[in-house]
Amino acid sequence: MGCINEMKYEVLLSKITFRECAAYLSSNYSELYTVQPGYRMFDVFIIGVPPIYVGVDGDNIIFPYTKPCHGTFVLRINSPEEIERLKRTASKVKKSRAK
Amino acid sequence: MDITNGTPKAIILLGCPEVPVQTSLAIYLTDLLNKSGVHVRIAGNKAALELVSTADPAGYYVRDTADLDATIGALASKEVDCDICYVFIHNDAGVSYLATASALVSGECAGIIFGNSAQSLGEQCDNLGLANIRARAVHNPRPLKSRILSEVERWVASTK
Repeated sequence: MGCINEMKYEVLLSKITFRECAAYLSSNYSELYTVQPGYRMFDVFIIGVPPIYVGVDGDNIIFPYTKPCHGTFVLRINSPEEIERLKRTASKVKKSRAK
Repeated sequence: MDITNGTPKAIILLGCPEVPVQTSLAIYLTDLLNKSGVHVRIAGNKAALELVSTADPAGYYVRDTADLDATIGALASKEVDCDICYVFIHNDAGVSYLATASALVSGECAGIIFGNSAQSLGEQCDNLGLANIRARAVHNPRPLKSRILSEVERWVASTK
């Protein structure tokens, strides 16, 4: 499991509320999963108010990352391995839309 | 690995230390719990922990500290658990930490909400079914002291 700081990540949204994060993920990604608070993603544990959404877009995984002083960020990281683990361990909430 | 042997355990999760009352209220809460025979671990980021340890240089009140992220990881992996978890909240991230702690801890969880947005954050917690006490305390901790005392007395009585 990789360390986020050592990976190539993209910050899609920064310093938002968790509610804004959930709304963004649920309305922008057709392939969506829910995870429990404390779910391990790379080297971090997901902080949040259930339902915690995690999006998948191709080989990219999109997820919330919360820091005490800066609020919630939405990160996108290319990681087929993490997506594979997500599919095995999380609940899918929407069917993928045909493109 | 448990954090104590047999004695009641409390974990205090500190938020961002930018609001002045957090440090003194955390030490006040720790003292109340210590006096009740509870093992207290304070978890926070580097700055939050440095503030509490600097305010108590001899470690008279603050006896056990841990990194916030490591504590969440330990709770998630069930290496650590506690009988009561208090989460200090003054922003949206704090509510997320309280929801997370509530999902991970086998004991009780309660938010201690302060700062300028205490009322709206408290209502947010109420709507999520998250127990909390709150007051609009920023520089002066007094509005929350009696509520923290009542809360600790309530919890200690509930464990007897």
